[in-house]
Amino acid sequence: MNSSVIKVSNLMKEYKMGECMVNAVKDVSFEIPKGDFVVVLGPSGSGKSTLLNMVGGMDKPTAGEVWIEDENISKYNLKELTKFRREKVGFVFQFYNLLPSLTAYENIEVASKISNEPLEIDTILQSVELGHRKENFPSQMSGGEQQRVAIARAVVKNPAMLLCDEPTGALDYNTGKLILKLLHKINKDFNKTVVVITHNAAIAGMADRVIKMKSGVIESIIVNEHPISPEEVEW
Amino acid sequence: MVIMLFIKKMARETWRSKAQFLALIIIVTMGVMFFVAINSIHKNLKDSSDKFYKDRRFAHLTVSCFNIPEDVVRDISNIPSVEKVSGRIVKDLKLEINGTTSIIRMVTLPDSDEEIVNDILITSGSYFSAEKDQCIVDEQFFNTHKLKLGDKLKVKINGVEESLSIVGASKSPEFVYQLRDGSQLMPDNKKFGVIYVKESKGKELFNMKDSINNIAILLEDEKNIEEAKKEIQKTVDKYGLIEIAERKNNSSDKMLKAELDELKSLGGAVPVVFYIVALSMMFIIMGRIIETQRAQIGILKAIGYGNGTILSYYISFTVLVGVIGGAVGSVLGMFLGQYFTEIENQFFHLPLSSLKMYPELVLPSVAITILFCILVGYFSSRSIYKILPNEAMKPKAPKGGKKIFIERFKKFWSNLDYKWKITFRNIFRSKKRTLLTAAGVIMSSAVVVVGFGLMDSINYMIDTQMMSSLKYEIRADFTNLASSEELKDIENIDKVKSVEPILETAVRISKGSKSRDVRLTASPEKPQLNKIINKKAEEVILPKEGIIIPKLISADLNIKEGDIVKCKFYYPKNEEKEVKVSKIIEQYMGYSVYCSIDSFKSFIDSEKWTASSALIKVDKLENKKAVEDALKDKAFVRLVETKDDRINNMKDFLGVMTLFTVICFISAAVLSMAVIYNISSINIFERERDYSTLKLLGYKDKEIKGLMLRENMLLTAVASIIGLPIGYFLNMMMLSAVKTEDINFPNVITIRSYLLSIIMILVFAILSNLVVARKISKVDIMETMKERE
Repeated sequence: MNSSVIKVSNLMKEYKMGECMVNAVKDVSFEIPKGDFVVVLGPSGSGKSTLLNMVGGMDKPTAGEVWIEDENISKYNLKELTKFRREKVGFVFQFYNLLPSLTAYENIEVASKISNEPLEIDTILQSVELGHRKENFPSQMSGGEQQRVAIARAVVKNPAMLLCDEPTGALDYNTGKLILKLLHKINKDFNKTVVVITHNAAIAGMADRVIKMKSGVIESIIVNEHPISPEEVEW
Repeated sequence: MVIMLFIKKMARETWRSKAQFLALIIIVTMGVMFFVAINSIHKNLKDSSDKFYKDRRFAHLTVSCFNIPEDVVRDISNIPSVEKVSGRIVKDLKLEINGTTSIIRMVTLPDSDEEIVNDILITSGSYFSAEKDQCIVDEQFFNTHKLKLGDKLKVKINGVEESLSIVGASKSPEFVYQLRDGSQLMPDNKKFGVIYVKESKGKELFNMKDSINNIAILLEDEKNIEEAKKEIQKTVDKYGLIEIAERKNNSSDKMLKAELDELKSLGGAVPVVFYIVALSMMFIIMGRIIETQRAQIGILKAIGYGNGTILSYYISFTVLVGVIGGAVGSVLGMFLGQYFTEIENQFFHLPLSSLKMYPELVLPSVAITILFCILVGYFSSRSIYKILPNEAMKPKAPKGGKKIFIERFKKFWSNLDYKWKITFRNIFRSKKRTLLTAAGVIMSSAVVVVGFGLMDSINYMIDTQMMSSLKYEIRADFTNLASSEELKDIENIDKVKSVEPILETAVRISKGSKSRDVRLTASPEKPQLNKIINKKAEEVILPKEGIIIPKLISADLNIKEGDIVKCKFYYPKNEEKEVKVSKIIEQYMGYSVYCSIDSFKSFIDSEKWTASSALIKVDKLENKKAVEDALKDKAFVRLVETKDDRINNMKDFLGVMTLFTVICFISAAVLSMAVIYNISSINIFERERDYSTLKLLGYKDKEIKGLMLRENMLLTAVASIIGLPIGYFLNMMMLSAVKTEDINFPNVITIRSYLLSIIMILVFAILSNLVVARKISKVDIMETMKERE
């Protein structure tokens, strides 16, 4: 058991949308071992974002459990969830979500300042190849650059896992690939568990493990014995 | 430190929206400034008068007699609780100066400068020297008549003209507010002054060898005043005692105290109104800043920042506003306070200290401001608790496309231009934003209404009340009470159309233990030239018997209609009579009680006296001057005054109030401008995405601005109208705070003021919107569309 960093059992999430209840995630169970590069694949509305939010401690499940490094976070209150996010999770979002009034460096600093064992900001900026952009504001950077800052911000906390919600969704093909390469590199170099949510099936090829979702349930979990390198991914 | 990062973030965001930040600071500054300014005036005057009273030993008790042997001074000083006693001669005399007749009060001082009770403060020149015929003139009279040191004053005493040379000008604690007697309302420095002469000279002038007629007494402790009074009474009773007046009966001190009280209540009421407006505006604005930063809050939460950290970030923003606003407000308030103090001091001639910052005013006001800023910050930012990181980063789900209620009026709706349809939909769909915008505009318009309302009150007092009361052109005051022959004499003057007698005298009205000096005005039963007007601007007819008392005085003395009160008439025989109160009327100013001349005659048991003054109407206005001159030649006429003199005097008296009103009005204008600018800029900021969508659809900047202006202006127009009744009530609150024992300000806001308020708000709104609208051209379509789906 100790080898799985994420363990989800019988997870369920319902919420109200207007007047009807939506069952976004229905009875989902899976485990992810430490250091895996996981792709959660599914069309929009399949519940993958909801699942990611619960795993990342941003949302509470209606039923079921989420275990992260042997801690049951589904029992956590809001305060504990905040602490959990602070220590264990790095998020990357589709629209980067940088703080517009802070520079690239400062955006990363915002995260590093509150973590116990942060990594060196400059090192990370180097590894996302943005050393020269550190004084720039988000509005002065391209989408790809902004997303790299966002990744750096997620990594700097030295979290147990990186959760990425459609990280290439707003980017063009080449930039998207660059980001995938970067995530892959982080997965390997820093031995971080990376979970990427996407509707782009092509990305699944580079994953160690692919969780396919549809209408709130898991269709299949495929363990990829020979993942391809991100350079080979094409769509 | 993560704090540094947040400071950077705040600094940059503040810089980007500096106009908005400035507007917030202005709002807070106004509140603090008013508090500090008004309370500074109060403190300045209070401290100066306390110090002046103490330094110059202002008498606790003043004994006036017809004639007392000088030795009695020593007897009184032997009374245990008495600290110091000074005997003097005080006489009112006539003085011809620069073509006008003035009344001067001649007071004797020791031949050489000693520490006496009611000492004077020499402000220019010096104390008496060896020469005999010297005098010191009170500073106001000195300045008003443009006198110079060395000038000679020619005083007539018992038919003999005396020439006194001026050696100095002075201030006295006894005459801080220079009134001749309790019947006077406003000082008239042209026609009343105090002149000090040497004791030896005074004795010679009035032929009072070893006697005096006035004793000023300083007590060791004011608490023992009642006992001391009794003791003194015993000592002086046999010498023809007129009265023993306490300090609080002194008309100068009384006016000063009344003014201080008024300032105190003003100092409470006005800043509170500004504070309430300022804080609610801050609340609204903060709420909307939070709304626009929802996504950022979401990110911070996702990264792992707790609610406490985020909350304190926003609270520190409001605190920053509070600190800057508090500091700027305190400093401005101090200067404004000093400026006002100097203006007030044109009436109260106190030796003022220099510009002063009062820590006891500034510290609590800044502390309260900051405390309120923390509270406002907390309550406006509390909604961040409800922000869930995953939802905050998604754009809010579009609101349901429900039909708005106006659409039910099918006929109206279907004929509406599409631009108006969009406008109405936007207004009604985002209810929260609409309500918040409206709240800001409503408050602004209410405050502006108050600004206009205060001016209306003063204009009403002067124009409506005074004008409909005073129907004469010239008023002639008699040297002594005049009889009907003298009135006839005036009637016979060429070009005089009509003459009406009026008898004004000071009386002391008392009921139970309370008493008060007021003016008694006796007129014919149906006065034509000096009408008595009540609050409803109706004429009051005098009763056959008894007196009429204005409510302001009756309330003060607890008098009801039909009560019998004691009335002490100083003229002609200083008698006390029991008089019936036949009627109580409501007036805005309560300076005078009224009765008919016939009743007055029966009160004083004399048929002879008819008038103290005559009110004169001339046949043609151009003959006014001629009649004035003719009157001045009459020996029995002491003073000639036109209606304009009187009105100007009143305007001067209300001058402080007018100035205050102007400041209030300007502040209201600045405040509402700040609020409206703020609201417009937030409105546009929040809607950036909508506008870029319109741009994307091919709308020109001009068309988008048109839509935006249409929406904001419609909302502003409606809200500013709603603000009017609120302004009316706010004005009522303010006026009731400003009212004193003597004056009630009427809440009479004119239609013109209401219209001007609306126009002002609309102009502010148009200007702010035009300034803010420039940002629309800068909206980058691609950026905003890309950022979030």
